[in-house]
Amino acid sequence: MPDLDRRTFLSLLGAGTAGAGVGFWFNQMIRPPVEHLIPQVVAPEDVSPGTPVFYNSVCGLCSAGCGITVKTREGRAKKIEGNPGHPVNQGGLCATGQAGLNLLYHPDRIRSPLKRVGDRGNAEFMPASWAEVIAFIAHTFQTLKGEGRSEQIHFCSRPVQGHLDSLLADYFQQLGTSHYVFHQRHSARVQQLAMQQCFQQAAMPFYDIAHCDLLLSFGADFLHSGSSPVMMARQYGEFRRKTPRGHFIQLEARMSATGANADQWLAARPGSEAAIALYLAQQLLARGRYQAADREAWQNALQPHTLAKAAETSGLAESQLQALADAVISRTPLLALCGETPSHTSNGFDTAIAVLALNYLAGAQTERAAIRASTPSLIPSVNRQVGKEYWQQLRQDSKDKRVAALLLHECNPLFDLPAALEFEAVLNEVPLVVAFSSIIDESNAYADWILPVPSYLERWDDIAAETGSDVAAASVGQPTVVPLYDSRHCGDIVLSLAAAQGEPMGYDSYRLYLQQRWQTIHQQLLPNDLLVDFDTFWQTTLISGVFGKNQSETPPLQWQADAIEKLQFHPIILPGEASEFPFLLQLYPQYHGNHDLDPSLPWLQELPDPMTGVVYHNWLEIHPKTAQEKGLRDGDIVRVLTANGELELPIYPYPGIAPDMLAIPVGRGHSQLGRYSKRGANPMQLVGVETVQGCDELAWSLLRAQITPTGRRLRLPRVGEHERSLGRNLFGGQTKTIPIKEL
Amino acid sequence: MTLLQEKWRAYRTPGYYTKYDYAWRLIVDLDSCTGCGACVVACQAENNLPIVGERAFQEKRDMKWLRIERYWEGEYPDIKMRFLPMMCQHCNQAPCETVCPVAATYHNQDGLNVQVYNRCVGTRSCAAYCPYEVRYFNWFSASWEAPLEQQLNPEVSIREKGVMEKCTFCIQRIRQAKDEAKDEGRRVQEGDFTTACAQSCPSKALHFGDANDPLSAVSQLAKNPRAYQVLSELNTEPSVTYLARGKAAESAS
Repeated sequence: MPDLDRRTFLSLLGAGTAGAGVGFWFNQMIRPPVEHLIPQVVAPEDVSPGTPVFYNSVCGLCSAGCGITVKTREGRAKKIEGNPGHPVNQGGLCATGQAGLNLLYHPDRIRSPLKRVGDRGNAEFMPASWAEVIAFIAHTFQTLKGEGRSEQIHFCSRPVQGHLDSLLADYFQQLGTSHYVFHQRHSARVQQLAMQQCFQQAAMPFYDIAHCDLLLSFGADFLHSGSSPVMMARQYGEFRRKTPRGHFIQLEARMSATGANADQWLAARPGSEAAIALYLAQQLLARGRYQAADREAWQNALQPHTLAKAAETSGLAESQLQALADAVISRTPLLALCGETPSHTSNGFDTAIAVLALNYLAGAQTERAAIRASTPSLIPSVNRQVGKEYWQQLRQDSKDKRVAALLLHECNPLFDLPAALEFEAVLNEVPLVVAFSSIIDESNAYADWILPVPSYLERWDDIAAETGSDVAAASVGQPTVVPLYDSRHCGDIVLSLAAAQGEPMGYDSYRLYLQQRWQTIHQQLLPNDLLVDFDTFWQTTLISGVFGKNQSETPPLQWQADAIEKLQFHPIILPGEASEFPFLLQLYPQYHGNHDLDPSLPWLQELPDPMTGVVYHNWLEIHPKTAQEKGLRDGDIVRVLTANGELELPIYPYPGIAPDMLAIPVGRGHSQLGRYSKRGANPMQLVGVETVQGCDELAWSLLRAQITPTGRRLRLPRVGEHERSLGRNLFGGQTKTIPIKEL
Repeated sequence: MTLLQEKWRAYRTPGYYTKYDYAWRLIVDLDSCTGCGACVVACQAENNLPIVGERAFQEKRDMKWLRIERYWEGEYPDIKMRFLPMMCQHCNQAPCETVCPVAATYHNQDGLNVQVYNRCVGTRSCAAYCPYEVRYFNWFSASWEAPLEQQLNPEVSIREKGVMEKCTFCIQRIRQAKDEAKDEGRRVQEGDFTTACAQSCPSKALHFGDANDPLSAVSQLAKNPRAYQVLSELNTEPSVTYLARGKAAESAS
């Protein structure tokens, strides 16, 4: 009896006494599924039952490039931990990084290539074969190339790092299109452009949080939704533990989760950040902290930025601003940070430049400035991030039938872009839409073909830590488990497309391409060290997960003389009339949802928001007193109207917001993206096409709004019964403890 | 005096726990804690906590062995938010232990407050007696939507409906470390292992170790003048020590 184990036998015995006639069918019904034991004689080399195997790899959920250690048991990934040897995160790992396992094992992952069967946008697909889809796309591309229309192929991707970028760039050059671009909902592009103008640097600077004495943050939520939150938090921990303890001041109108950690929190009006930063810069000059040759030019540029002006725009008392100036003068090194929300208002570019100027003036003549140039990356990369102009041009081209194919690689512009950019029309009009993705999202629902890509735990990758880092290190991501589904790496897809078009690129797989490229790194960086051959180097890098180069001190930044006159403060411009839209509405990146795939991960959906404790939903923050005046209770659903659109959200009485302001987190409100994310409303519907003055980034973070009650309610799922400590001894030193023996 | 009272008194005598093999301590530095929630997810991944769904949150039946409490202080614009990571405090005078009718929760030889799932009959008295509200009851049997169950940690059991559960200080890691140390004929040393929460903390605000080792980081940090214990006036003698937020050196305004 080969298929009969003890449990089945006992069950059969029971069934037999109940009715002997049904025995055979019962046996068929209760037969356990066939499972495979791990053979002990010829066991797979990476599986030994009962013993975990750890793989060092690199996190692929955001662009920070933290090193991870993946614990696997019997061939399955069980836990993601921070790699203690990695210079970026040094063992720590954020909530998102740990929830990466949810992406690997997501019940709604795409399991094979999909072909659209219903109308575009309906997300009705049928499984297809890789041979079919590669042949079709290769044929289309070849036809377009033959007709000289290959420039009409657009490839829009998440920011691709490492050598995948160079492979994609080579492929699209070979194909003959220059439309290989990056898109990301929350990017630091405004600050990158400011860096370019002020310091002629393409990369973000390195912020030395750990060693600064005064940390002055203009609405920067660097601990929770910045470009590299784990590295920032690691430095923040050092900043707190060092002696003397660092002082942290945050200026913003709505308390962010980073602001909650500040020693001093100043409620400055939104849009006034540049005025404050320029006043502080002017004080640095006036009190003689900056003595270089170009002092005169600076003084002339900063003359108009007076205390009175800063006080008027910011709503802060003059005494508060003077005290702030005293702190800036007396505490050194000073590090000022510009946040993402303040840099995406109409005067956000002014703010970004003003904050850089403040940093420069405070640090230029000290031994160790707190803002320095990032180390050059070990893997050169190109910033292909696009803004509003690209999307408008794409819409125009699509109207004129000049877009033949649109390829979306792990990005979701339909969710991210305001409706006024008409991206939905583009998706409906373009003859061929192909998506590379692991979960169906809003944009993919319009695709003709969806090509499943492996999660970052199943594929080869490499990432150089480059944005705002003081380390020159590159990490290799290796597969930690056998791919669960019939997915293919984007690099492999491109290689097979090239081969099917009759123009092979000379590599059989992306892994071989990656290895080939790392041979170049090996030759360049270890030229004299003949003792280490490439195989040893490669194995060592895979085992440690990272290859770093000893780096001398990061160089200081040099201000461009012509950038001094760019120090300006433009009062904020908001669409709509104040009489019609009396509230200021701030949009900010949701803490556990600011990357594309975050809302699909159930652990992140169930991780309470640090400031409100809400799970699963998004909400409208309003000051409790304002809510009371309006007759609104916690959870009442209101209609939010702006000049560009409207949506409905439940209110959350939030004590840390100005009484005339509202706030909504951006990230949730999906209609696709798996079963865990289809809740809430997408606030990008409220945003128009106004841009940040001086660059073509959308000014999405500050709007005028009006609210009207709908009469409906929603019980927001959330944690936390009491929002006040009510005199309990929770934070120490409030009550006297009498030991038991004295009782 | 009855025998029961005598035993109880002996059990409650202060200093009893110094006889333990190990005295596991968790230090939470509130000055470094940013409230990011990395520890919460680390705990969920390590200890097979279920995905409970939206409705369970509305009914206050969610499961988080480690949660970050938040408290507002003051009014806008002079307002503050404070974070307080809260997990089982592993009290050495634990109110939950004395109340359990079936002794499903007891003190083990390491001074840990442990829960025997097989013994628990689900009276929920322990949760009612816990001043920290860190005990969670399984109102339902959890299920995982395939293939999410492939993530489950094989070192930790899945709890059934009707059973109380809580933070264990990652007892599976403690046991494994002790096992390995025993093979080498030594005590568990500082750095052999840490809990999932302390391991993940990006700002290194959590420290775990043996307070019986005078040189361990937790022993050193417990001497910090900022050290305090939450609700210490209840004399529960928690094994979790918090370090209060540091005072700003001088005010800028």
